[in-house]
Amino acid sequence: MKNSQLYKGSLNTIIMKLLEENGKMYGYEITQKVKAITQGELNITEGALYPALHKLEAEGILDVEIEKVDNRMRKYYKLTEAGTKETVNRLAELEDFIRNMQSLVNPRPNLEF
Amino acid sequence: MKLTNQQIQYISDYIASQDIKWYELQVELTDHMISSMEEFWTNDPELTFHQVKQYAEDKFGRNGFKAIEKERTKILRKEHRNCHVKLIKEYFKLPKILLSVLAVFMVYKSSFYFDDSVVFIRVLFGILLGFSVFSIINWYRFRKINGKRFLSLETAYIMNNSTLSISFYSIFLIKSWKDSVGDSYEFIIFFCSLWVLGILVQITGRHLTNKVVTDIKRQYQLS
Repeated sequence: MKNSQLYKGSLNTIIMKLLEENGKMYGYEITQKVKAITQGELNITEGALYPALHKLEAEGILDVEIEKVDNRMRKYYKLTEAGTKETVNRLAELEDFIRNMQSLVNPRPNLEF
Repeated sequence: MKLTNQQIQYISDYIASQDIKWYELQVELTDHMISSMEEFWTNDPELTFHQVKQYAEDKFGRNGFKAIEKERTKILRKEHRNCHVKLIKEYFKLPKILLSVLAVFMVYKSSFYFDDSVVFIRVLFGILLGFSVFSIINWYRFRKINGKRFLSLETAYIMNNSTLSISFYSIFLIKSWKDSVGDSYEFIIFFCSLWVLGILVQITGRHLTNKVVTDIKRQYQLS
């Protein structure tokens, strides 16, 4: 993952946001979607993606669905009811984080005299 | 470019040959490898099957599939332990704590039928050991669902066997403990409480295992 340290903490929220928008997705599809949205700037590695998906699944945030596609089984992930609620909270947290970082990195000039 | 059935089977067998014996991981990794290979092949049709396979596999990093399996094992163990502890804690809160206290009291009362407290405690933990052995036999009989092994189920069974060591220690070390601390009602109550805790671990563990089996059957459409 590019700038992995910066993105690492947000990986779960990125996955949850994508699933909120797309309903259900499989692992490879998630990596490709992230790559397409960020125009290749962000690459989620397989070694980071699957532990994140498995953790969210174990926590009850994601549920799994198996389908036969092109003569093979495919494991789809989708948000559970609790996961949908949690996504709202995590996105709010992420937005707060981005706002705060923006204030720190690019502070507005003080116009008071 | 799509892979043929024969090529798909080759990839599936290859992943299994990398000591990935869990069905949920085999399904996921096979599909990921195939999707990745198809993309490599679409971008460069001149590549051979083994080249695209190697490129797709390289994306899994130095430790490959085993690293993902190792991480999943860690995650499942942690999550199963948390769920198990949460379930057991319920028996230390109202109203279930009344049931736990009553159970300890009943077990303690039954000690009056024994002249020797060591024999009583050995019988108690012998029963718990029996439950643990039964749990291991169950693991061996039901570790496969429709001939497939699942890491989540294996983790649940392994984590349920913690009472085995408590039983062994209690049965074989009870005599020396009694010699050092002496025979008292506190001594017997301690073992009665430990035994009830062991039984709770077994009951809640079985409940969690059944839940794992139900989830697997629902998700993977198995009967």
